[in-house]
Amino acid sequence: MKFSLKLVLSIIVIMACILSCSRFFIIRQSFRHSIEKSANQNSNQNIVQRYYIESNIVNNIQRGEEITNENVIEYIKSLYSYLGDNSEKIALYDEKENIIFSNFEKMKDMNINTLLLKEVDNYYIRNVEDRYYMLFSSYLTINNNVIYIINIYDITYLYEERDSQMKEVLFVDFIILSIASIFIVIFSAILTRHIKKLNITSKRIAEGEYSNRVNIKSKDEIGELANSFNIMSVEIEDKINSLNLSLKQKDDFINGFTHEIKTPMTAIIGYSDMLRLKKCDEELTKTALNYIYSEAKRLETLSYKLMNLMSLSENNIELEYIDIDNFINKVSSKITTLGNVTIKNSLTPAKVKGDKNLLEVVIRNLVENAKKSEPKDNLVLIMRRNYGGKKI
Amino acid sequence: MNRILIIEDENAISDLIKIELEAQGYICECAMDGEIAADYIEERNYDLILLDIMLPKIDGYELLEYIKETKEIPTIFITAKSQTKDKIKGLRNGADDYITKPFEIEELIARVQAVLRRYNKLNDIIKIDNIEINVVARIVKKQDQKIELTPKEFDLLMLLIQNKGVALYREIIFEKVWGEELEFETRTLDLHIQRLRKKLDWKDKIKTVYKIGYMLEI
Repeated sequence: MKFSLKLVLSIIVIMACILSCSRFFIIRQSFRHSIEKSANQNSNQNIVQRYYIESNIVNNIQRGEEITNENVIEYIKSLYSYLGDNSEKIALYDEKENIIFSNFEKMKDMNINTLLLKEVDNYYIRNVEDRYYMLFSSYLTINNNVIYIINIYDITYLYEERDSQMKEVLFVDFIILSIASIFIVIFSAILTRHIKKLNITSKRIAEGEYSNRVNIKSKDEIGELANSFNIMSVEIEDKINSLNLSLKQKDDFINGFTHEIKTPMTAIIGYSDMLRLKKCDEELTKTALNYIYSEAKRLETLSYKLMNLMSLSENNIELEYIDIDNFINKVSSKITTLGNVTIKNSLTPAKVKGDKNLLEVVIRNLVENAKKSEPKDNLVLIMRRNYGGKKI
Repeated sequence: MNRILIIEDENAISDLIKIELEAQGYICECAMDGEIAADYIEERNYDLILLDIMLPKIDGYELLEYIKETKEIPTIFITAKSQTKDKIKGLRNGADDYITKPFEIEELIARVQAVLRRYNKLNDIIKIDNIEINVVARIVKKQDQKIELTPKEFDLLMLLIQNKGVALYREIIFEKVWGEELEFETRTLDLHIQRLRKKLDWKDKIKTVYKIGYMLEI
């Protein structure tokens, strides 16, 4: 899964959780609040009604009328029929939990029990056929007869309100989340853009394009990462380049060396094979043997050179300043193989940085090569020339 | 007789090739550097050129281009450069074959013959005495009558023919025919020589040389 997708999904999930929790909490609180409010209202009404009924009954008693349950029921019936159908519903129970009167037809489904009847000053909520009712009970004592009055208020509208609130909130939340997602997607794309760049570049480098760099100008952690990534790739490129160079140098050396070694080898193998297969005449045998000897000598020289080279690469060369004119004079006097060739040194005093032993080898080689070309005047001249700012 | 130009700056090697190829009956000339070689190619006619790559003055690749532009002479590279890319470069530029140093002279001869044969400058068929040998099909005929030879007998015959008139040491004959891994067995060699003499009716032609080995003399 992509990093930006992970980011987007996790933020949306967290947002949805927080939003829905807070919404749920708020709606629950307001619902509770409205239930309490309506309960308060209804309980007041219940008290008022009871008082009303009581005072009426007291009036009747004062007038000397006999009070029976039937009378009370009649009285309440007439009161509620006067108030009309839209009024709140009422139910009367006797002590034995038997229903005496009700203007509410669903009363039987209300599951009224003793607890409810005895628990005065409290409300109960019953759900009958998808409607919610709030019940209050109070009682009258008439001639030692107890009549329970239960007021029933339809509070379904509160639940409906809550549900519609829920729906609205869900809708609003959906819109908020959608808008937020769009922004998060955009931001995560912006944030991960640099990471993408880094990724692409590191893939390229892995494929061997070592000169690739990332161009991220940012001061955050990713900017720092890009910076150190670039430093790293510069290092890698340098290392790879120097590795390739040394590999190439090694290759060149081996190629040159094998050429140097293969030529005499071919001759030695060829002539010796000829000699051992055939009975050759004396002249041919001599030619062949001479070639074998001279080519073997060549190999010998080569192996010495190789050994020198190896010891050179092992020992660190210590460079020192040498007075070149005096040094050459000293070396010239040591060279004894010149025969009738003389060395003329026309150098002015100068200092050269180098290793004395190696420099001696160089000068000897130069002089001997010069001698081999058989100078007409039997003179080897050592002088200094300027080549592009370098003195040779 | 085929004329071969050997272009090689190392005396030892050009002499070696010259000696061996002349023993095979080729006419050889040597050129020590690219310039001399170019002059020779312009002035004279050759059937084949053996060409070293690393040459003074004009290098082998340039010379090859010159050869292919002017005369279309079959060319074999002889070089110490044994890397595949060098071989490919040589062959792409028009070389007919490529031999790397160090080479064995038998290989050189075989390749020279193969290239010449490809250009129809050399017959597949060698006629010697009354024997006819098809080198490619490895068939030996005597007066149109096919003679069945084992592979080793055929190799032995070819070695003798290539070095006819020269006495060959028996150990080396064995080594060249049977390979270096096998221990020398004089009886095996003697038996094959006898079979060859009998099959070809060359009793007096394949001679035993005292203390040395055998020699084909025709």
